[in-house]
Amino acid sequence: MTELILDDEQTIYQVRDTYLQLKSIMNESKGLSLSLSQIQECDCTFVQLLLWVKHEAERQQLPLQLLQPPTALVELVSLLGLSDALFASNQEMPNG
Amino acid sequence: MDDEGLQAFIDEANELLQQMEHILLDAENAQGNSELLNALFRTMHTIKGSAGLFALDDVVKFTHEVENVLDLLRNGSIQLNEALVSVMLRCRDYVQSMVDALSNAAIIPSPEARATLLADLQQYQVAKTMATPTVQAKALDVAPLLSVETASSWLIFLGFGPDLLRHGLDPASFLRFLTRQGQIEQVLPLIDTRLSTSDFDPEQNYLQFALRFAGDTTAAALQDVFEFVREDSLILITPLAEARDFLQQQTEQIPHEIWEKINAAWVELGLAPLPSEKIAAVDSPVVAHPALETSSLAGGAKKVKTEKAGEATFLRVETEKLDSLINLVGELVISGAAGNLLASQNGAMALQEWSLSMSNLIEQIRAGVLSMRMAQIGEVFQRFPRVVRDVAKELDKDIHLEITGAETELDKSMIEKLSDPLMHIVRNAIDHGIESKDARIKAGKPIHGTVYLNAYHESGSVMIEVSDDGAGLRRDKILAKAVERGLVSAEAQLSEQEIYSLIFEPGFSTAEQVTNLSGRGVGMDVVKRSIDALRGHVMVDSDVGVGTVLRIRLPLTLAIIDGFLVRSSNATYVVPLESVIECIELPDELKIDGSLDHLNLRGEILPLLRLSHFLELESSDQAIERANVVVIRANERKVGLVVDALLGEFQTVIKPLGTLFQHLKAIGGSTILGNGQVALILDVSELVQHVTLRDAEIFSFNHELATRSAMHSHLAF
Amino acid sequence: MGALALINKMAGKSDAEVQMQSTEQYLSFQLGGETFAIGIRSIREILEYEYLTEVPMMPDFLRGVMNLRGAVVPVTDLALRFARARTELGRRTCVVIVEVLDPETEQAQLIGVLVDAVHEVLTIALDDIERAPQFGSKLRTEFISGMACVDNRFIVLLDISRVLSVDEMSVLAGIEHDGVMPKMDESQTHEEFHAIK
Repeated sequence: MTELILDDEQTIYQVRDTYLQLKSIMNESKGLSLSLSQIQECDCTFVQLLLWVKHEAERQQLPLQLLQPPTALVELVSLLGLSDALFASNQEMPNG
Repeated sequence: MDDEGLQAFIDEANELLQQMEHILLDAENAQGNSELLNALFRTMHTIKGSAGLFALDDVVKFTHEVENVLDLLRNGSIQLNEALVSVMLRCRDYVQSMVDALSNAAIIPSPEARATLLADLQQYQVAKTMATPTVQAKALDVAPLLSVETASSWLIFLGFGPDLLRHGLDPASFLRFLTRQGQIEQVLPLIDTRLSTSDFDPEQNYLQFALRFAGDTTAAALQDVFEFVREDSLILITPLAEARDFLQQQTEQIPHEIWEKINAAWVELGLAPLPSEKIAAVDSPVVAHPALETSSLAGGAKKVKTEKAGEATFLRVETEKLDSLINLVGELVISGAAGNLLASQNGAMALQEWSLSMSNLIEQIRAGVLSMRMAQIGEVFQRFPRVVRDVAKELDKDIHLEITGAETELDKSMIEKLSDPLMHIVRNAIDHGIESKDARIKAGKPIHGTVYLNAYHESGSVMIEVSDDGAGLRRDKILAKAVERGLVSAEAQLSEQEIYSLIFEPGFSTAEQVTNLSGRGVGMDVVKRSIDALRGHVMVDSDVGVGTVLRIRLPLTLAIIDGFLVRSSNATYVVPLESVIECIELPDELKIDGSLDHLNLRGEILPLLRLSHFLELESSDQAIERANVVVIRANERKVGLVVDALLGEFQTVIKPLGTLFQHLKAIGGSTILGNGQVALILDVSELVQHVTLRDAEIFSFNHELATRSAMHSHLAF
Repeated sequence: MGALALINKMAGKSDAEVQMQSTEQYLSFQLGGETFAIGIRSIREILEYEYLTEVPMMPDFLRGVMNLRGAVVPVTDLALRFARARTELGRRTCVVIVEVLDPETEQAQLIGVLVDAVHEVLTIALDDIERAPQFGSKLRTEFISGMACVDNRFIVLLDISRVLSVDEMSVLAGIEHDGVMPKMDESQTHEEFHAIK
């Protein structure tokens, strides 16, 4: 299980780098634990990226944890109506 | 569709049917009131629409016919006369039976009723051919007008293009902007499936949204919000009421695949679905009557509430969730009480202060949670206009019903259980209480009788009164009948109240002529039992020639009671505080568990019940030095409960004891004390009844003796 | 009440094993000098005996009710149910919380079982379980689901749904109750009235 703490800014300006990093981790490791606690700024590209990570993890059957999402992210996801899609089945999240 | 969806349909249909009945019963008012007639139309129309979602063809077909007639009614082609009200009420009942059949397989809607009703409806339909052109003409006028007017419910589709993000625009910012203009009631994200393929591009947009939006604004104002994205995105905005038309018009402009997607999403958000897959079905009734659709769609979309003045907003919560919350609050109350005890034992000032503020908060939470369980008694009352109307008609009596205090609140679960007993009481009042027309004229009373339903709060209880201005109860008749039935001895000296309460004895009926109504109901003894089961009391008051009042006193809630703790043979019992009148010390001469279990309480004979003896507890009676008497009252009778010690008041949460203890009558339930132990709650009315039976046997054994014994105990002081 | 052991997790784990090795897990306990066992699937938890509230006018084997984290749970004395001597309370007395079906409400009902001591969780191969003897047992045959030989000792495996049949027990409770309720000692009362006269 690879643990990764994401940086404070996750917008369209960083999304490609983050994507490439996550992609390589997911191809190599046996699982991914993403700590979201440091994130202060994020936009829809990041939400899309999380959706992709989730799909990818399911496809590769990797265990995935999305830990400690900050309020800003939770609000954004909820605004987009994606709370169920992103967080619902992720039981570990609230305990993280 | 799932069960939950179907349940939602059933709930909705029940509400609408209730509403329909309400309007029909107030026909005088409804006639000429276009708002009410529209509402009447919408009840059937909405049921039809929702039934379509579940492919309930029988319901759709029938409601469609009813709807047609109601449509004629609201455009003035026909009048709401008594005959039509009758037909409509029967239609309502038939629809109700179809709805009930969904959840109860035992109910089979009668095909004969259906045939008869359809034939009846057909008569009114004759006028239809004449009326239809008017409707259509009106529709054509109205439809284009709406688009420039403000509306409050909108359907929006945000088909953002793939390059949106690269242009530096964030879909979220548009949604945020919308939340400032009004309220996004529901958002449905539509994720492009290419997001999960291997050529995912993190800078490309994959998100599109369908929204239901509430806000008093115009289409133009909303369009402005999306001015910047117009070029590479597909943005659709329409008032919910016009959405079906609007979408039909777009069939040419939008690729079929995308159109389907939007249609599906909007239907999920409350748009009435197409009757069939045929999109361009211009002949279908839904499209042919746009005016009908616009008004009805708003009602048809379940979650859309236009919130006209005075309408309260509600949140539907599963009762199970609420009950488990109430249970937890009960735990909290108990645990809080234990905390209080610890804090006061510990003695530290700060701790005690904290514990006090904690108690206050718990009390507020408790009150808040319990209030969530509260519902208005009007829920039951509103069924009565119909009952009164039907029963009065059957008996050829002219009866008005006056309802007051419908907004009085009490525990929701009690409201459900009150329905049957109240129904019987009201039937009884009409059947036996109010005189025939002739008798009323002879007595110089107005020809129409009146039944009053009233509810109000009184000192922590809920009072419900059912009264009538009928003939009143004749005490001599009641007594004679009771003696004849062997319920009391001929010599018994009974108070006014005691005589009246005889009508609640099993097998008692005051009506000399058994009508067809009394046959179908339950006896007043069953009424009393149901009220008792709710920890309530029934009292009767009557004046011959003037009328009868039946008062029901009920506790506010079933979940929590104020209890009075007593100890008997080392066990703690709870007596509901509301039935405790006073506590006195047991006089020395009565300490021995002896023969005469009566006490002179300020000149009144108070029968005693020794709790440890009654409950067959291992007696520790030698040790008792100061036995106490708790004077309790139930059913207007007083009994002195002899216990070992009084432990004070305690607010307690009632816990049921379960199937194993169902035969145990004297215990009404259990509760958990501050120290975690279980205490049993005494069923006061059972205890009192036991004593009454005991004494009745003594009285019937020899009335004279009883009088003497009373004197004897009188002399003992 | 302090929980001695929470067996839920163990029971969950056993499901997979059971299928592979066709074994079943049982909790064995002491009751008046005999060892019995109950299938672990119907056991919710085991508690140290602390306090019971007696319920008046109930048959003896219903020893009372207890507070199980806010729920009021009846506690039975198996020894009395088996028509043996009443279980005396000791240092190792435990309450085993068992889940049975209440046919009335069709819901799971929790019932506490008073035992002298709890022993261990036994894994018993299904092959090692013998059918209940048709006679010779001191117990109603229908109460026994089988016999198992563990360490050269025979252990009675109880059919707990029969032993704690809510239907049967509530009928028994009703009989007890009805026999007692019209508890008006008429002859006595009348005599006393004569005495006054």
